[in-house]
Amino acid sequence: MDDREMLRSTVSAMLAERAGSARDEAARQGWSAGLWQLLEESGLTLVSVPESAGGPGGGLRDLATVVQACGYHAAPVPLVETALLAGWVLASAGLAVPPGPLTVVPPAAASGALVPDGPGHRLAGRLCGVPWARAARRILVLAAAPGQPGRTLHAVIDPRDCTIETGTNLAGEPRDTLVLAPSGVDCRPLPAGHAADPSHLRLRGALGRTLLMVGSLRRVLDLTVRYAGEREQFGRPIGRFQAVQQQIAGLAGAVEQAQAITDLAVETLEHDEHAVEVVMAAKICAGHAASVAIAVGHQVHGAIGFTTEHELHLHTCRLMSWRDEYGSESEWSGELGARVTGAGPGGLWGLLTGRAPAVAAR
Amino acid sequence: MTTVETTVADLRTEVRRFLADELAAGSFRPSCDSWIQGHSAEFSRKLGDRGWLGMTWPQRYGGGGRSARERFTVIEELLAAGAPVAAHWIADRQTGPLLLRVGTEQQKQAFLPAMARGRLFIAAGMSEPDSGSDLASVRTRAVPTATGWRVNGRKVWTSHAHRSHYLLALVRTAAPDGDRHAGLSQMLIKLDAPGVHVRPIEVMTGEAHFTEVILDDVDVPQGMVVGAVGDGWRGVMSELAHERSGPERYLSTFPLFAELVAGRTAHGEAALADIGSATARLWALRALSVQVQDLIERRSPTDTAAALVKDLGTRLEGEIIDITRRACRPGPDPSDSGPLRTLLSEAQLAAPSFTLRGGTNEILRGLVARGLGA
Repeated sequence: MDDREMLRSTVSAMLAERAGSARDEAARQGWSAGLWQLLEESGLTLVSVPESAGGPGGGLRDLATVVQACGYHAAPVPLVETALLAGWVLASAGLAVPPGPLTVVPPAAASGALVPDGPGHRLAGRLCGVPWARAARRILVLAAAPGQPGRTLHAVIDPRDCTIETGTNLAGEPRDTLVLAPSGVDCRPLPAGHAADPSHLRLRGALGRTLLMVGSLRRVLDLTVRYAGEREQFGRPIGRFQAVQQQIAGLAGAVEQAQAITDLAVETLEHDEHAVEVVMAAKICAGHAASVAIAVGHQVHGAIGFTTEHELHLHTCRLMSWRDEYGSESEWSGELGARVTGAGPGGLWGLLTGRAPAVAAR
Repeated sequence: MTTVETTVADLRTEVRRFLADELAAGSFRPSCDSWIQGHSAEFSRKLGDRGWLGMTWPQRYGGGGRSARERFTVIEELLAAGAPVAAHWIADRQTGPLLLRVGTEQQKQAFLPAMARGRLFIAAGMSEPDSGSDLASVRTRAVPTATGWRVNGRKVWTSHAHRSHYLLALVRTAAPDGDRHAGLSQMLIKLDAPGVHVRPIEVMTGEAHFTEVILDDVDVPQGMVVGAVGDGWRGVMSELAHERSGPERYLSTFPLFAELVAGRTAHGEAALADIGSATARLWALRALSVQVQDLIERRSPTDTAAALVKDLGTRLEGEIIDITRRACRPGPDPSDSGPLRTLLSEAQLAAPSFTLRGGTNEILRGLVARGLGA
């Protein structure tokens, strides 16, 4: 067993053991503070954030392993927002990463709340659809500085300074609205010369949702294969029927396809922070796979899969939400299509075989 | 870059340069489905001369002694360019590896060097008029003689038997006797031997790569049985991972896709989204295919994964046709000689075979589901 497999099984065991209590807690308050504390004590909430910024170090692949396990167990904690997004932005900008759960305002919401203020800018009004805002100790905002290409503004908000209107996605995960204090929030430029800008943040957000989806997809496949082997009709397990086998194979194909491109995206991004197309491709494939998994998972499970007593609905509702958050597959497909058609003869093949694409949008 | 990555990158550059030169010299026209339909003995000889056939085979048998990753790189470049690689395809992909696994020393010495030089082509004789998906039901029979075997039967849907030197045939050498996978053997049959009649079958693409091979009292020497007598089924099955997971299972329509993406067509928003979506899935399939290659090299079980690549890949090949049709209306006119129209016409006519050859997708999906334990 290699280190990463060890990490996966350790995290998985931890999440499986706490799944029930975490779910109860999330039903009451939208997330599980208890599970978060356990993960934090185990040093798992800031994986990939370097030690110099207050994290435990480790690579993106380690973090990906933890996030996929969270997806597999539908863990109600802001791990993606804390480690993959806020932790990454702050650490790569040379800023300290505060303790506790963190979150990030999705880039589109942030830019809409930016108002000029003398020579600089302030955030004012409402910030909608902020994941896990009610759980966060600090909330990070990034926005492109209007009229200053390449400049990024940021603010770190203490949620106690604003009002939170609770909201959720289809899966009941917090997607809250922050109502800022009337005086607004000061934005400051990020130091120049690092990768953390709103477009990269959006892309990493897409990677985060993709990793969660891949974990969740794997769980749907496992549940479906198991159920098809256990459930008997007409005197034999339903998995013996060819019609059911065809469905399960279609599901397995979609899951493996999403997994393979996601593995490649993580591996590529670990070496090249500017590799954007492969992340788009991963989000697209995971989105396609989600639709297949929802359809096949429920078709094979029959009515029991539709009930809240069965685990399947946790994944169905998450997949439905995650496939649309940080760019649906059709949004990213349009963007990826524009990039490959703009890359000239050989550009598409060069991209697929690993040469850096000659794309202006880089 | 690691040493392996550098080797692969250099090799890729070399293949691309070769292909650019060949295209400039007019030695081939990029076409879809070129690993089935693009038969050019001359082109195969050029590849052999460059050491791009039998790349992974030991050097003492005329092979290149190179890694599976290097071979993968060469064949994916050839396929993406739509180069004519059909003549040597079966020999390079499956017969060579099969001989290395179970062949006799004499067979290895007799066949492998000529196959690696692109001088000896093999046709695959599996299906029969009454045996398609249920391959174990083959009826072609071989009965022992003083010097070997006498073979009678009919093989069908064999590509390029009329342009190959040997047929690798799956035949029944003993009655099934309870286990229907027992009593089958594979043997190499010389295609110009007395009693071998090859009849080309014209298909709807207008050309005739398919043949029917009639075996009428054909004498096959004992030394031409590949693997142990009666152990043919295992040999056939061991070829399948190679056969199902390679880049030919998702690149058959890539020349069309590349022309759509980079050619003269102006793209609306819907076409861009279609292109992006297909790009993402193609990329994912390539990643999956590379993973399977690595598993094959480490001799891990790959049946389920290989079947998945073929199921997903062949369906995507078909979808690329639909994407192209949506993006360029009106439909293809076979008399229009623009590259996109030509490629679209030939891809459409070839497409019905994509999800049949190498095991129908329905059979593969059953195999996947059972492999998962459903």
